[in-house]
Formats: sequence, structure tokens, C-alpha cells
Amino acid sequence: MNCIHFQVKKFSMAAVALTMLATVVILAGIAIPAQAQTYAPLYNFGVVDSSQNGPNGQLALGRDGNFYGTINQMRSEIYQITPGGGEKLLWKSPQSPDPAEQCYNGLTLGSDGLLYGTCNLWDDNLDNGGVIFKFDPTHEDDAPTVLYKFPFCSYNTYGLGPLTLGTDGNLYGTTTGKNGCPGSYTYGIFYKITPAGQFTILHVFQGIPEPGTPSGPLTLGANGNFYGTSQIGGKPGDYNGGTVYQITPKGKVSVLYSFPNTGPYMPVAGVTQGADGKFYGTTNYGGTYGHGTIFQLVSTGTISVLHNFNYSVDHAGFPSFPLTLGTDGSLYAPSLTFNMGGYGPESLFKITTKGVYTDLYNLLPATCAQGTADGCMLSSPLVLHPNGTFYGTTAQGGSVGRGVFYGLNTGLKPYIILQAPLGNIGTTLGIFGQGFSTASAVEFNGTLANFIVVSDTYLTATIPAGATKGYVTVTESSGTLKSAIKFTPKPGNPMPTITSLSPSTAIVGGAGFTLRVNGTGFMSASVVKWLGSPRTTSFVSATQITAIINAAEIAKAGTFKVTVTNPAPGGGTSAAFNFVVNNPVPTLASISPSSATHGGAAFTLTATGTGYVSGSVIEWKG
Amino acid sequence: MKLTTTYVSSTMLTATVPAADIKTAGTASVTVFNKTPGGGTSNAKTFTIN
Repeated sequence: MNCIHFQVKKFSMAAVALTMLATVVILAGIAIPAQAQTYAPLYNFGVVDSSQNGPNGQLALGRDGNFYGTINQMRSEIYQITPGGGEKLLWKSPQSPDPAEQCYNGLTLGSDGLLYGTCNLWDDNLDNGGVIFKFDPTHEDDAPTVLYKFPFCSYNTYGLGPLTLGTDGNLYGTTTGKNGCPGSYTYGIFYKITPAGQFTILHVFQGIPEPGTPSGPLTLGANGNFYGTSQIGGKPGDYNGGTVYQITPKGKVSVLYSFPNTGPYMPVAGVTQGADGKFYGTTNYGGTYGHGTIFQLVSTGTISVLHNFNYSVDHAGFPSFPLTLGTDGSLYAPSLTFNMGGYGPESLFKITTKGVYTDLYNLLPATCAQGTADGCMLSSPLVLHPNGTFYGTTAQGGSVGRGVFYGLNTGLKPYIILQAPLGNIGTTLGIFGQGFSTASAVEFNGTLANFIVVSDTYLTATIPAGATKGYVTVTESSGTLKSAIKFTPKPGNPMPTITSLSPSTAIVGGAGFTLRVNGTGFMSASVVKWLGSPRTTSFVSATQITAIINAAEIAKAGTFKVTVTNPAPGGGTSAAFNFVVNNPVPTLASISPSSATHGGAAFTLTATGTGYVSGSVIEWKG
Repeated sequence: MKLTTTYVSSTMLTATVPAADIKTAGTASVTVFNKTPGGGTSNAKTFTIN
């Protein structure tokens, strides 16, 4: 293992500047004193919402540019808050019969614009071990829809984390495992839930040598896999200090790093993918001072410790919130040190990928109580709004004592947030920003894309053919906004084409047959359609598929359109190719009668031959 | 002239020949016609009017 530990020291800004000129390597691990940052409490919880508790959990950025969050315990609430601090309570659970929801994991915006979240307890009925719910922010006062109830105290269902949106529109999450319930300890699960509520366990964590007791949010990586941290598990032996792991959307897990019992250990906040593609995270404990660390995952099996927390110097330590990527490539997070007993120092910090640590703003309450203007008990990860300002919450303090919503301006410029770091060509990608009503171009690393402006703060763009990995930009009247991360386009399914059919004609009334369809872009999931109706299809190659055409389909003469459809992502339906069902050329073997006496009465003439169809006509030329 | 024709089977058709068509002695040519797509006119058979 290639761990690097650095001493934490504080230098004057002048010394730091000189050091920066010398070499960035020496800078790694250096702490820079708090700088003038604009920290602003923007709203005191409890003023408008009359909430009994403070907010907790991650804030979700809505399509309208506002934030959405949860207030938990005994009477859960969902609120909306504007970047300016205008709060609106959207839903409050009823007080009777003695509800005891525990919804403190925050919210996640789905690809459908709805909010998704988890609660560790619901309704106090003891019939569940937590729930997954969805909530429509445009239908305030409507109760959240419970999508799934985890069985109470059952296998693997205790301790829910926040949800993460996958590229398929489904939500993914983990549980920490069964604890405090009868029976043996378990190590948690990785699950998927569709927006309609179909729940699937994708992996059951086993602990050593696998990850155990995952915690913190999952991060969707640029390669489409999820990345997370576990409190225990990993390599056997002296390694049980937790892991950084990767898990595919199908549930195949691999440990990327096992924390030993000595050194940094117990990561609880997940990992964040930096602009450089590497993953960054924190450990809750360990490091030089035992107060936790910030690390970079250099490669599988190797981390580099970027910072060792010393809470008496940093006013931060025991980090438990995820790192948030800034548009400058640095990582930002809140930290509070209440782990040391009582209320300790709290701060908002920044660290560069080279390990330069900056104490951005200190919340140093002598006590954490009503009237603490800055708020205290930091309670959410930072979210970087498209306007370039970070936002977060505290659970206590403020004028009512129920926390504040604050902004932290570090001078970052407006940018755009991508719904996902990757996507298939031909599919749509949600983009969050501001000023979109004047948007004139959306480009994927320079390739123009079709887009639809949904609102001034949200648009959707079709990932264009020919797009390559790179930044996404939106050009509008005020300038060009750029994503903080590079977007990875993935080839979607091909659009099929038909070049010929064999046979291309049939005689009406004939027997069923196998139709060979020749063309391009065929795949095992391709479906041949006859007049738009799917037919049993067999894949032969990328240039040929076959379909069963039944006798009933050629019982009538005419021209029938044949198409091939490939499923999304990408894919689509080919241009139609005509198949002609012909009438036969009739033959006449005999007629009966074959003669008559002139002046006689009308009579019935019978024609015998072949190739007669409904619509055949006997012609008489006298 | 197209006779009003009834489809019986793929090998048999029937049609009513009006009395007006056999008022005069001679012959008539009888064929069967199928419309497009494909289709066409069959070989002819001779009907004798005595």
C-alpha cells in the first residue's frame, strides 16, 4: 500500500504563496487559515414552517432551481427553499395517531422531476424497517407515495441511506444491515427501485472480504458503475477499517481499497469523483491526530492521504459529510466535531486535489442554542447551485433554534449541472442551470446537440452522434456555462436499416414462411414488424434477421410495410420496406356448360381452373 | 363484359350469364380475370351458342 501521511501545519498566506511558487508537491497537506468567504445565513427554520426540529440530509436541486429537503423526527416534513432563503413547507406528516417518521436522509431528484427519499421508520406501526417514497413537489400537501416498505427488523433492512439516480432512471441505494434486532448481524444490501416501485435486491454484502455495512451515498461514476464506502469489511487480517468499493448496476461488487485497523479508518460519507476522474473521500477516524482524514484513491489498493484532521487547529474533524466537487476542481464539505463530546467547533473546508487544505469558514458556537446566528450542528452536505454558490443547512441555532439555511460564496462562477456523468447517444440528458430562456446552443465537447428548454433553470438535450468525452456547454445571452465534470457519451443501440427482403413477394393464400430481412444495425433484440405488429424474430447477424410470417398474413393481396425496431438506448425503427402479396395468374381448365341454344334463358356458368381468389371475375366476350 | 361472379373455391367460380348474351347463335370467349397486384387474365375457353 502506498499511503502518504502529511503533517498538518498552518502557514501564513505569504509563506503559502511562496511555497506554491516552489512546488505543489510540498503543498500537499498544508492547511491554509480561514479566508474571507461570504457565509450568509439565509433562513431561520421554524419562522415560516413552525417545524419542531431542524433539517437533516442532502438537499435536492429541483428543475425550478430551488432546493428541496427534509425535516425529521416525530413529525417529518418536506420543504422547498429558494437560493435566496424563501422557505415553503410542502408537506407535514399528521400528528396522530402518534406518527414517528424518521426521514433524515434528504431527497434525490428523479429523472421524472419527482423527489425520492428514504425514511428509517414510517408511521410507527412497527410493520416496517423503513420506506422508500416519492413526492411530487408540484402537488404540495399530497402525502408522499410509499413505494416500498422494508420488512421490520428483517434480513438486511436496517439503516437506509440516500438514493442515487442511475442512468436508467431507476434509483439505487444501500442499507447498513440488521443491527439491534434478534438474530445475527448482517452486512447490508445494494438495491434498485423503479419509479413505479418495483424493488430488487441486487447484492447482499458479506463483510470480510467484501464490504460490510455500507454508509454514505453512492456515487455514479463516469463509467456507469456506482462507488461507495463501507464502515467495515474488506481484506481479512488486520484490515477491518472499512472499504472503498465499486458495484455495478447489476450488483457485482469489488473492493477498491481496504482500510487497515491502523491509520485512517471508517469511511462513512461515500466518495466523490473529481474532475480528474479520481475518487476522493474521508475517513471518520484515524490519521495522524486520530481525527479523520481526506484521501484520494490513487488506484485500486492505493490511497494518498491529502489531509490529516486536527480538530483543535482545523476547527474540523471526524468528517461525516460527502465531499462536493467545485467548478475549480477542488472539493468542499462541512465538518463538525461533536464526536468529541458536546458541541465542538464546526467549519466549512476546501481541499485541492494536491492536498492544499483551506479552512473556509468557522462556526464556533460557545453553545449551540437558539440565537446562534450562523446556526450550528451542520446537517447537510454542501450543494453547489448553478449560480456558483454553495448551500447547506444546520440542524440547530438560528433565531428559532431549529437551524438555518445558509449560503457560502467562494467566488465560483455559474455553471451547469448534468443529471448524469454519462449517457447513451440518442438519449436525453437533463441539464440544470440558469438563464436557459436565452439558450442558443448546447454542445457536448464541441458537438452541437438538439435541446428543449423546459424552464429558465432546466433543459433537456439529446446526446448527439459523434459526441466525445468532454465538457458540456450551454451558450446563452450572458455567456457560456460549462459543466464541472466531463461527460462520457456511450454508443447507443444502432438504428436499423433494411436493404432487401427475401422473399419480397408472395402469392395470396400461400403457406406461411420465413422472411429473411437483410440490412444493417441488427442485434439480438431487434424485432421485425409487419404492418407495425411484431413478429417472432431470430437474429442471424448484424446484417440479417429472420421473421415468421403466418399464412393468415398473406391471405389478402396488397402491399405490406415491413420494419425493424431496435430498443433504446439509441435504436429506433427503420424505414419501411414493402412486401407485396400478389394475386395469382388464373388458369381456366373448363367451363360448364360449354354451349347453349340461342334465345334461351339465363343460366349459371361454372368455371373450373386454378388461381381463383375472392374478387376473381369471369369475363364474357360474345 | 364482366359477369357477376361468385367465388366458390380457389379452383371454381360461378357466374350468371344473362339471356341477352345468348340471343344470337355464334361463339363467346370466356376468361377469368384477377386484379393487381399480380393477377392477370387466364387462357380463354370457347362457349358455343347453337
